[in-house]
Amino acid sequence: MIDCPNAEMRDYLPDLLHGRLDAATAARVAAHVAACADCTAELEVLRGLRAVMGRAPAIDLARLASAIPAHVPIQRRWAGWRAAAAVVLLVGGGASLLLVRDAQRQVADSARVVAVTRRVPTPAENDTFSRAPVTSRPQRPVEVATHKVVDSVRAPLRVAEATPARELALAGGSMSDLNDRQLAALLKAIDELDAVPSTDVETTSLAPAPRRAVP
Amino acid sequence: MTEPVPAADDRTDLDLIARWKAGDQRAAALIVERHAEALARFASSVGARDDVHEIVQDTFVRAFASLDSFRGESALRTWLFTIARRLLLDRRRWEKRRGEHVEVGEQDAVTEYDPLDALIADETQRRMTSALARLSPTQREVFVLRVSEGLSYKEIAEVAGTTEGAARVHYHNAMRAIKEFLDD
Repeated sequence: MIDCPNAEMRDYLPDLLHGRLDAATAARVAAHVAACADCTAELEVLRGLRAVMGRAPAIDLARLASAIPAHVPIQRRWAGWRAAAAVVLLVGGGASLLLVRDAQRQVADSARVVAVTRRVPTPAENDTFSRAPVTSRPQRPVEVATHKVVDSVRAPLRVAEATPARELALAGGSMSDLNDRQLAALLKAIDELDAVPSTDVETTSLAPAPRRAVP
Repeated sequence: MTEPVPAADDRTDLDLIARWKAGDQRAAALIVERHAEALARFASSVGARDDVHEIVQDTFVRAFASLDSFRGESALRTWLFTIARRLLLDRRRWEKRRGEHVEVGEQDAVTEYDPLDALIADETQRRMTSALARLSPTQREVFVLRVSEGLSYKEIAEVAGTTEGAARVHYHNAMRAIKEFLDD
């Protein structure tokens, strides 16, 4: 079988087969096919292939249709999301609160005392209004050691990903401390979720990040 | 090249979607009826075996769950083919990971549709089945969408996530390979 040199006509053949050409173009292509042995042969091959590819297992249309749920308006759908989000926030916030308080208790139990240096200002620096003459030789500030309890938890615990809940956890507050702005920001983030059909299996871990070991 | 005339069915699909959103569940059944067989043909032609019904059902379930985001810029059938294609690719990946995947090859050409093989008496049809089985997955996909479903190159590009030019090249390469096989 030889390819017809008229690429445009060859491109039209599947469209002619499916009746997708406007009347004028269909007439023009049909006239060409009638006069071109190569396109006639190719169109015949396409017909045969279409028949072969048209075979498929029988489909139970009623069963398919019954699997389609009724349409749920977006407002009602998001109301469900908001309720679910509120529950997650409540549970997450409560869990974060427990984690923070537990961590604070651990710090209190095993706090380390380390020495840090603190710069002590010179008497001249301290006595801003003194009329005492300043010596010609500048005095070096005296460094003394003080003791300071260092919080062994250097980084805040990683709690629920939702910012308001995390802020709460860090502040050691409770759910009722969420202000309107914070709650609105969380709900806005949920509203902006993009509902694109996904075909991948999603794995989501809701487990909190592991706590760092206290050195 | 003149673009193919868009099907009047596009308007009907949008009407049916609007009716379903308004609460008419029969509209969903009509949408399924209009597109299910095309999806089944496509799934079968590109290698789905015992799970054709499942693929088609999953396609519709996912599509209806996201119909609020369907803006009608492309034909509904094109959109459905896009979803079905992704499902088929995910299944192939999953089967490969489990070591279950078997590439559709020439040895499958005759036995792929066992219940129907008994009906195939025409040697030409047998050879055509073999010719299709020899195409690469991408060529077969493009060829099926063009010849079996009549999609334009633009629509094929949308389904397959490629360009019109690439779709055209794949189609003509597939056609050349089929002709060479049939000529042997």
